[in-house]
Amino acid sequence: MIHSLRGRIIALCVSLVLLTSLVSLASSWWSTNRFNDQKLREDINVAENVFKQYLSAKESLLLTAAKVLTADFGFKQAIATQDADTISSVLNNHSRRINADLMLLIDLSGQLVSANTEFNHTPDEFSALMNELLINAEQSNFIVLDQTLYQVILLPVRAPRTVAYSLVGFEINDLVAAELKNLTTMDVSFIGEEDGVVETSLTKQPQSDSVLAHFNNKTTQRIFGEKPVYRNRLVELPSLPGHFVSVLLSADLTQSYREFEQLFFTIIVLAAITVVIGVLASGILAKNLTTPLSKLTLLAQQFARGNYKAEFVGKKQSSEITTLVDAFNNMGNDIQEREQQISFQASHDSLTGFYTRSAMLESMENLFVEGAEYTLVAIDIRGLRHINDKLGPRIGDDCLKAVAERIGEYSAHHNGVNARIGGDEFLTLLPADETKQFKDAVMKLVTQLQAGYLIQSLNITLRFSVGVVHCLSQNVSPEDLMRRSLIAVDTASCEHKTIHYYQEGEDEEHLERLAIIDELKQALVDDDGQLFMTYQPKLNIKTNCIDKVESLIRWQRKDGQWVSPELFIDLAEQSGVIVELTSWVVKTVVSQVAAWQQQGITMQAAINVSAQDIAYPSFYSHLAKQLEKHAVNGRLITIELTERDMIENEEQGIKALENLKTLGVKISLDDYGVGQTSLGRLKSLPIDELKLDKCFILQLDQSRQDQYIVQSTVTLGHQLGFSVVAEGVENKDSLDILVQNKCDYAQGYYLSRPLKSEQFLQWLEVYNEAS
Amino acid sequence: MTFFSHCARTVCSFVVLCCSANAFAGDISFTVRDQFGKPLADAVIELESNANLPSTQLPIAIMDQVDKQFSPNVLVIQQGQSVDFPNSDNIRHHVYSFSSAKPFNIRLYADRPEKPELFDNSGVVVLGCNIHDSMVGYIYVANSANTLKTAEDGKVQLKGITLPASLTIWHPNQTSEINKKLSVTVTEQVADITINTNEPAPRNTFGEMFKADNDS
Repeated sequence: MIHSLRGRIIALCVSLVLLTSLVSLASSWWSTNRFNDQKLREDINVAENVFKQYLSAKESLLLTAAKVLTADFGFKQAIATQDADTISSVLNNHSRRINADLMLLIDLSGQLVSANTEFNHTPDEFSALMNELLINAEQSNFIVLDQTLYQVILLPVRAPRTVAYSLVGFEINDLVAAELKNLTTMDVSFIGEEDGVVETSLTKQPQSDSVLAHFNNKTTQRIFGEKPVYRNRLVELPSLPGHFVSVLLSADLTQSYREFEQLFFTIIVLAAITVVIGVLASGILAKNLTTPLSKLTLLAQQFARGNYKAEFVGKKQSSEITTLVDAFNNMGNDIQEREQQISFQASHDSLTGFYTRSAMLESMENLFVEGAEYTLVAIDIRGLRHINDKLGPRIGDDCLKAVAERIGEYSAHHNGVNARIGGDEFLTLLPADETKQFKDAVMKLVTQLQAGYLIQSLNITLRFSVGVVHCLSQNVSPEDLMRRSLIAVDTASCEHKTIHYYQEGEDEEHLERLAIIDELKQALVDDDGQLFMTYQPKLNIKTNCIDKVESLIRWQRKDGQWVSPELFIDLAEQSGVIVELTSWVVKTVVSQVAAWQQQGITMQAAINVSAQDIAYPSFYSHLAKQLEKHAVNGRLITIELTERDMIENEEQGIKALENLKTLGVKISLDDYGVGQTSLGRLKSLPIDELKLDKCFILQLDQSRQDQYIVQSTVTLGHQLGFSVVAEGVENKDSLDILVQNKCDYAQGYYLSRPLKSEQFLQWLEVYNEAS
Repeated sequence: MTFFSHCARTVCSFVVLCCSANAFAGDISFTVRDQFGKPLADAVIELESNANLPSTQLPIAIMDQVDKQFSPNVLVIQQGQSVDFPNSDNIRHHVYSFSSAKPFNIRLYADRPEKPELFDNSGVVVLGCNIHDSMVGYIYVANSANTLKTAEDGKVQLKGITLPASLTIWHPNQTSEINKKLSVTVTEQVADITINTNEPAPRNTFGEMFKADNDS
């Protein structure tokens, strides 16, 4: 299968031409053949007619001449003499008059009387011959006498009555045949089959065959096989029964074959020429068609590479191609435009027109000049979300636009570059040449920003957190610069400052914190003992037994440094690692409780959990699985939540807690008293235990206020059905007070600090022995 | 028709036979017919006789040429008789004969030839005209004086004949050779004699070729 357009056009053209040629060849062959055949048949018909006419005319002549001869008085007289020699001489003489080859005198009984001198043979059955001839008197017949063929006529000699018969005849020989050939253009052969006589116009006698066989069977090798050389027509001549004479007219077909073949070859040559022309023409056509196509392909490839400036170079084409080329060029332009648009949109914020973060980095790369100083200012709009919620996102967008406008105005004066990163954060890079005193510049900017805005006829005042980094270009990469500015703005935001100037090391701190998070993640994965649980015993005041512990996580990094739990838990919560962390803690504590059970120690354990964890759907299933796996009763587990965590999505939290309670676990409210839990909330939350914050317990023995608080809290808790745990028991007096107040559990350094499992067991043993 | 005449003839012969038991001498009349029963004119009946006739007393017979035809068609003469050939046409004729009884040649002449021709052999002489192929005539040179030609009705009467008589019959169109004579023995007074004849040969040899009007 031909795949190229060029090939197909050529193939189509060639096959069309070939088809046409073949068809015309076939049809002209067929019609020429038919025509030839017909012509030949007609020619033979004509030849036969001519021959017959000739014979007839000859016969008339013969008859007339012979009649006159035999009516000649002298002839009659000579015959009357009955002198053989006289008669013979007369026959001889008279036959010469008409160039007759044969003149015989036969008497009435059929006996040969005399003959012209050239004729010597006396056949036997003359009377029979004569009788036969007499049947068609005055008509010539063809007879064979003495191996010679004659055309003869038998005429009566009347003197005045028939006294004898005269046989006049003309010899039919090769010359006659040749003369006839000239007349009819066909080979003429007189054939006396029974007598074995053949007179033919063939110039060369065939060696092997008889003449008849020669004419009938001779073939010639032509292009399309063997073909007969002659087309024959056999004409019967008047002759005697048993001695039939006929003439064979043979048309030589060689010439017609030759002509036909010439025609054939001519057509083939013409067809070949036409094919060649067709191929050339179609080649040109195809080229004209495919060249612009391939040029357009190249153009398209250029477009694909992003070179939209490429143009079609070529001479004038057909209108379709021209249209296509124009379309291509337009496409190139359009694509270029759109690409530019998209590029712009990719690197610019649609709302403000400022660079995006990545575009900003790029432009900083390009902008930075060796030895120059730069100030990068990060601006955060405080409370924009609040505005969006309260006034609607359109107002919010307008605010953004307005702020961006002011930043843009400002930085335009100072050849700055602006970006908007994040929903409400902007960056502006100010080259330092213009702003030697960069702090003044920043102040000016901030002042401008802080002026009131008129957004849709609303007077709005916006507050900002601004972080500023100032540096030399060679010291710092754009990424670092940007990161530092964001750290600075973050710091400003956290510390509620308007402007915070980046200090050396903040970046490192930040990075350090990121490193801790990564390490924590890794430690969780490795579970190689960096992370471990410690347990602080809780004294059951009623039973005076240690039947509960609080599990606390500790982390000693690989390099031996301890990481404070507040820090890494805080970081974990911020980064979301808390989920894995809590999961690990649950697993560890539950298996620890199970291990203790194995050792015959039934110990409840409290796990500190954040609200994030509770909200996580898999927390429940994970806990349930662990309980099941280690065959630990849910009642042995207490979930400690801090108050502040409760504030978020109340409904969801309550649902999750209720769910957890189906496992049998207890819910404990940690740091009670320092948070924001309302008493109403307390009513509705499904908790089992309150943990009094350590700030109330640390100096319980000395603070009257604390004692009152503890007292009332225990009462309140008990009345609401909760147990109360006091945390931070430092001395015996405090413990006594708690006992007095009927607090349920006490926990603190007075009892023990948090201990690892083995140490705890040891301590427990010692304690149990002591009490 | 033939059968009827056949029967008639047989009856006649029988009657004649009954009527004449004895030898007869007197007149005999013949009717000569062809093989189809048609009476033939110009038939010549010759009675054999040994009597020699003085030739000097014989007159000169006439064979005229009238309207390009010999007149009479058949002329009966005695051996030793002479025949003159007057030309009554206003055109010349060239009279000839190749018959062995009397071959002669009178070249183109008008009116009368120089002298009459003497026919001193008996036999049949066929006459022709060289320039008129259609002219044919016959001279019957008889041995005996008792030679007569039948009339148009085919009848002829011979006087003083003794029965039975032997005679010869000849007709120009007879099928047998022209010089032969048919021998017949007659026993009755009135007899029919049959002789086979051909259709007369066409006279004009070139006629059919050129489609000219035939003279005959």
